Amino acid sequence: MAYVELIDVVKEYKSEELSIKAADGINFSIEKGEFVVVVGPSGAGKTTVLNILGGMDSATSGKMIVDGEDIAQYNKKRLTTYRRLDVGFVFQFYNLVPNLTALENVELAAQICKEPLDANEVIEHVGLKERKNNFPAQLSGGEQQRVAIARALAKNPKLLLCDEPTGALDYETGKTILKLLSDTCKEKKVTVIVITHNQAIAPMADRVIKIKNGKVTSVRVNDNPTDVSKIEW
Amino acid sequence: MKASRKDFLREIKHTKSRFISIFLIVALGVALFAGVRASMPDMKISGDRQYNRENLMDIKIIESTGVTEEIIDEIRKIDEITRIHGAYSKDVLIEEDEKEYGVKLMSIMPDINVPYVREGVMPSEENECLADYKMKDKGYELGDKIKLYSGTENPLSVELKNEEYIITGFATTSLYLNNGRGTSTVGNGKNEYFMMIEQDNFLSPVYSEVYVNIQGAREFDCYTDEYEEYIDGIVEKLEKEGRFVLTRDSIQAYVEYELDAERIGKVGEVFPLIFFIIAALICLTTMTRMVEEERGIIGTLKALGYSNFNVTKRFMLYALLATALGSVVGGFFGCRFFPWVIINAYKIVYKDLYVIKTPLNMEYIITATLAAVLVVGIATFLACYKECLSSPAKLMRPKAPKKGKRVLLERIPFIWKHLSFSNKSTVRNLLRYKKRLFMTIFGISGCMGLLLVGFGLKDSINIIDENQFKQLTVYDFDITMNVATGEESIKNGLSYLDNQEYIDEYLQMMENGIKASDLDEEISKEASIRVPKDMKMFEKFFNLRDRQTKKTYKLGDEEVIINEKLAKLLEVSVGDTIVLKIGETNKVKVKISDICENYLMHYVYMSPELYKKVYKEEPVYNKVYGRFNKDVQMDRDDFVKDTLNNNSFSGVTFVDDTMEGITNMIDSLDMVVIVLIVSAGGLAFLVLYNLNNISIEERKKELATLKVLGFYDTEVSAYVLRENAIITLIGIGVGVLVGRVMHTFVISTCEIDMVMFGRYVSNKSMVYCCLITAFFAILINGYMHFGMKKIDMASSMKSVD
Repeated sequence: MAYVELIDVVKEYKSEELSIKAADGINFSIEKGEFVVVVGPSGAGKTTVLNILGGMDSATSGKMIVDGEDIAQYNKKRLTTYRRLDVGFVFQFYNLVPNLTALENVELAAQICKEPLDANEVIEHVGLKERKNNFPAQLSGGEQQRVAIARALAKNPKLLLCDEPTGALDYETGKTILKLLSDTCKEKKVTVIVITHNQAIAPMADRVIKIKNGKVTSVRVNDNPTDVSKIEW
Repeated sequence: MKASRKDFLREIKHTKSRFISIFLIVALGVALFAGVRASMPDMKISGDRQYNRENLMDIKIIESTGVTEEIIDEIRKIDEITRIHGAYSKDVLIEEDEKEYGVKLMSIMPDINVPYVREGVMPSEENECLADYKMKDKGYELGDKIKLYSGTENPLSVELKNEEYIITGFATTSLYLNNGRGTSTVGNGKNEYFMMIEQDNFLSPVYSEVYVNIQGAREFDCYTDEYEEYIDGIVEKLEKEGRFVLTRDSIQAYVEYELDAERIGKVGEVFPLIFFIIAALICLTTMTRMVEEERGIIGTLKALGYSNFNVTKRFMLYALLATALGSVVGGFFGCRFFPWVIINAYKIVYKDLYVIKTPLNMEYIITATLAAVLVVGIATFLACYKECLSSPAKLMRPKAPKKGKRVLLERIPFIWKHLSFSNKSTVRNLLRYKKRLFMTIFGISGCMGLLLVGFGLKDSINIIDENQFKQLTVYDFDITMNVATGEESIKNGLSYLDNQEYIDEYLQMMENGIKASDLDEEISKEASIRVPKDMKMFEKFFNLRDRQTKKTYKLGDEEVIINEKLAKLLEVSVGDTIVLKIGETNKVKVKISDICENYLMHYVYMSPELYKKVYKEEPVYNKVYGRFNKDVQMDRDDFVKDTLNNNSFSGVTFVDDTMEGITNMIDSLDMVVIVLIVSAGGLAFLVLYNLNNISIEERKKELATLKVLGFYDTEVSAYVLRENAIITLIGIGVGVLVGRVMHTFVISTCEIDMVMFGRYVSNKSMVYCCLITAFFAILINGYMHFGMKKIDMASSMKSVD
């Protein structure tokens, strides 16, 4: 059985006049330790999938198995626990707590987990040893995203979910962040799922899932992923 | 419709809660400002209208020889007199449950002092009477026959045609607006009821008094200087040897009612202003926040070519519309509601007040509206102006988030190291949003302060009873000696007192009204001079001490001791010399040795030696202060009757009765305190609601981040509520200080000249105030918890700050 498996996942937004299916029967599976890229144009339903995968939102119908558990059945409280213990998030806009230093932002996540990694070590891992006592406002965009990754990693999560992690970064910085993510995936054996509209980074993934109009159009397993430094867009 | 107008209306629709909260807070501020201020004039107007309705006397004339028809005809010649009637009055007794009660028996006049018949009809036969409405509560019914007694050796039949009367109606009269029916010359010295009968019942050839209504007097509001001056002008014409001309000021309830109205007036000068200032500050913060939130829209409008004026107009209109609506609604509501509540509160004491007028006081409504519109308008303008100065491009970019900063506390590792991680972030967060921190502390301390003033006001009046009559002047009764009856009679009187077993001990004292003034005689106050006969006994009854240090002062033979409030009014202190005046010519100068604690009336204490020295005469001891022996059974009414029947004495009063009067005053304040508590609570609620809404809005993303990280709802709330709890505690602490200062201020403005309130807030009240404030804070935070629960993680994470 696959580590992550989505079966007929539907997310329907209903209002008085119309209903929109942001996810219209999504099916895919992911193996443990894979670097996955979910790609598709704006409005395809990628973020909906990520929200459901990350326990920020629940599906209208369908099954979502993570490590043998059907997350789709969880209530709000259990979803929070799921987020707390099993999921790490990285967002386009970093979403650091502005009032906490880099190290403290990592500690903030670590303090509520069962088996967190050492905050100092994780900060070192993302290359911010020298800047750990700086506040977010004193860091560059790339550095802030590193803090966000460290914060996600410190929780020692089953899944590391990244929503357009390079969206707000320049080309070079974006590349180093992707490198950090793929290295982390390999070294720490974390399952990393990156959501992007940028088709060009697909070759670096172990698995590429394409989504369009709320449906999966293709799933491709890549036996020989390209190193990120060799990708250009 | 123009697009910009559509945008404006939709803006209001979309930000309903903000619009409504500005509206409500302005409404509350203006309602209190206009409403509480209007209470004093409304009380006075209500009284005036009632007096007009009853044609309450303007002038009462008593002649030492009684009033004859000739005298009335002579007075009638004065042009301004519209109505004039001779009238009779007499103190009689009735029997009720085998006890005697004093009754003020009055003759009915056709159109002056017209009683308000609540039930039944006016008497039409000679043997019928109109009874006090108070008697109805005691079980008397229409048709009951009431027998009157003279209370003296002379039978009533000498003076009255009938001794028995049938009740045809129950009535009230503005002569007795409150529960008091005045003193009596018979029985226990106190009248319990009044009764009115046909004039022909009285057999005396001369009237007891003459009542007069003056032309045009009813056009004035009677509690104004204009009315008083007008009446005084007429009175002067009536002045004559052997004649006493009295105005409405001779009606006790009439004067007390005015004093109470003025006390509320003083409260109205301070309180509403505090509310108003807080309301204005909150509107200011809210509008500033609104402008900040919509900087993108400002940028867009500017980029589209809208002028700064047009952009500013949008926000100004929003703020002013909410403020103007709030002011008008609040003003109208306040002017109707608060005076109504306060007058009804005073009806506990002034039971027979039945006309309640709460006209819209346009002066206050307009003042408050203008002030509110001006303050909010200027604040909004300044906030817009600041943003408008930026270029559109800059405005359309998101504002840099507030930087995290190290706080001073971090430089003290000893403390910082020992704080838990979440405590550290709490401390930093508190100091990050300084403006909101101060606003919230201000709001909470304001609430706390207002509560303290409300409770403290009660405590401070309560303490008069407690201190004045249980610690400072410790006596059970005082008797006025009839010194005119001669030395022998006084001696007899004293030996009578000596023989009563139930009297423990007594003190002879000289007590006379004087005028005390400062050395330059610029300020002059009515006071009493008190000269004790026996210094040892004096110290047993009167404890002259310092209010704060409680140090007891001894009355020396060279200098006088005066009370604290008198010293304050005369602006004198220890060592200063004051002038004591009897009439206009008899003046003496004395030096003050000490200033003593005292709450009611003004006193100058002087030793008999000093009195002899300055006045060159022996003091005439015309008062006796006494204490009962608690171990001996006694009947108070018998004691009074005996005393009154004794020629040596002319009157007796009990401390209990005086204390009862104060208790009534406190009871009527209850309602005022409740109004204050509810208003303070409402204010606290609106302030905290507003600030917390802003707080959640500002930190939406941060809170969403916590949720995404897997913080449970309670943990997310705790993250913010920890801050609020600290702010609330600080607020309560500051509130105690603010409250004490406000309390002292309000107390000293509320006081009338003759009374000093305590400057005291009981621990119990402190605890209540803290609990109530904390309750409001908890309520709001509970509400906030649900607000935070609703934050949508997914959409918050997507947006830039």
